[in-house]
Amino acid sequence: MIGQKGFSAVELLIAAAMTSTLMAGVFMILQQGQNAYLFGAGRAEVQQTARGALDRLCRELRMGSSVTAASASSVTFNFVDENGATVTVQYSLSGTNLQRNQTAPVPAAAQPETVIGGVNALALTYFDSNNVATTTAANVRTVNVRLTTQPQVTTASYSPDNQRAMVEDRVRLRNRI
Amino acid sequence: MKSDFRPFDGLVNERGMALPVTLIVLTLVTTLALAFLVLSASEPVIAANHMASAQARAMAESGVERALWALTMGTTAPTTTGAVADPLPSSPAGQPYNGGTYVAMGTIGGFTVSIANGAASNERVIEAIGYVPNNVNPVATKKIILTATRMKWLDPPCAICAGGEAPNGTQTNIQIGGAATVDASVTENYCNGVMPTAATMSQGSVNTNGNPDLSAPPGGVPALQHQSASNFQSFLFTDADMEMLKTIAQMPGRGTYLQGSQTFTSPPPNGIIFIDTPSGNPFTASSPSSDIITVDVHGTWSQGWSGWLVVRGSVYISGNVTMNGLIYAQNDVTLDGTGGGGISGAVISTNRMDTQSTTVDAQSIGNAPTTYNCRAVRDGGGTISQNWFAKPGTFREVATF
Repeated sequence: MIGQKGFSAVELLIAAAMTSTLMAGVFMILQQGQNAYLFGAGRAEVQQTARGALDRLCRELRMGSSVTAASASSVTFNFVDENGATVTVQYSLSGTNLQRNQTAPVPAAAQPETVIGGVNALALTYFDSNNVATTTAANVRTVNVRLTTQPQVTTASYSPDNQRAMVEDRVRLRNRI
Repeated sequence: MKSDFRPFDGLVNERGMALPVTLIVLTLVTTLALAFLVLSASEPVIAANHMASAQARAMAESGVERALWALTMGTTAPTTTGAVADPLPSSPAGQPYNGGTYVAMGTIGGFTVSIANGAASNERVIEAIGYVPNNVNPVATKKIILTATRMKWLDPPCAICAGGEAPNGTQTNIQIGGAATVDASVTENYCNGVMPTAATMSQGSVNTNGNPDLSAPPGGVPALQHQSASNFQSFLFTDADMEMLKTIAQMPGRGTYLQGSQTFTSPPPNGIIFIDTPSGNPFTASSPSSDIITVDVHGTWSQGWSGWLVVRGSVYISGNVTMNGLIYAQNDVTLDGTGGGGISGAVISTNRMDTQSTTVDAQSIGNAPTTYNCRAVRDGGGTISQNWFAKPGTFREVATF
């Protein structure tokens, strides 16, 4: 720094302006990258939870032998498990948790169990043997399941990870004539 | 002494700053990008696996459907290529139903399927495994096991059969009078491999009065009396059979389900007619009086009826009515027909509650011909589906390892 007399105010202002512009650019890039990451992570989370829950519910419904209670947000039914035993379960929504309550045979684990959290909506519709919508449990032959999930940890609505995933499947009870 | 310490010499110019700053930013951006890449790369893999799993399940179900088709063809059109004979010539059946033959379904995948004998003559065990994309290096496999069944063929050895479920110490008798005709001699009505043994068969006695005509089958007798209950078991509906018939009859378009005593003065709908007790409970020797019912069929019918009339109680048939198929009562049967009508098929009274003997009473009204027709019993005069289907409660999706 020998021979230098320091920076003038103009030089400092220009340097500050240039640095600010540069940092703003860098910040924008980082922000975009972070947003993209949060978006992807949020999307993956809601899709995976939705997929897992739908798989389990539909697998058991597929092996169903009868529906004993049918409402728009819960279903109680009997199904035949891998060993040929008849199992009675209820799937329902409790807050944002999808719960599975096995009443027969009574399992060792405490019931009900939470299948997944972060459920935004569960919509069940039922169809009889003529594929006509019904609300009478005894007539149910097919169940349509629509599950909408959201992040389990609540985030601001404008946050990139505040995603929704809607999955849907229609299952015919294979053990029901 | 002049010091050589020049702490700010390095800042003589700032040309070296660009590289570290760039490297730092690049590192940050690269880290984020990599994380995002890993995330976005795993998602399609998970989705692809999920799709392969669903496809494998569909492949396994294709195998099940193929087996059901083959069984149905074996029953209804045995000469069809690919049909599996009924009964099975071997267990498991031959290719491609032996479980070892891979059946490709385009380029997506394929299945193996086996058909083996089940616990009953009208049951087969089907095991199907779906593969995606093939059975050599599968990405996904799904296995389905189920029991296939078709409507039970009772194949009774008699035109009028009484007994089999009578309470211990009670009698089950058949009374035939007047000019009644019971004919089991028409050989073209016989089922392949099923030879009737008598026109009438009873756990007790077969009594006649008047001039009834009992025509025996070739090598058989007009009346087979004092048969043990075990001789009836092969052509009776079990309680489980009754429940399945009830379920089918309750389905719209598949049958007719009624409860309590009924009267038919005109032909009821063809097909399965299941008349249940008022309570819906099985009929037993100790059923309450409120569950004891009688189905009254009479009138002068302008057309015939075909099907299975299955009653958790008694049946009384009179008048000029024509019925093809099976009349099955878990209590008593009284046949009092007249005119040009008659029954083609078989009449079975299991006599679960010994309220009276089963009779064929033609004394007052002329003729009430009952002609043995095994084919009509099997298919309800052409109204009962002979298709094989998945037996309720047996469909299981199981692990393949």
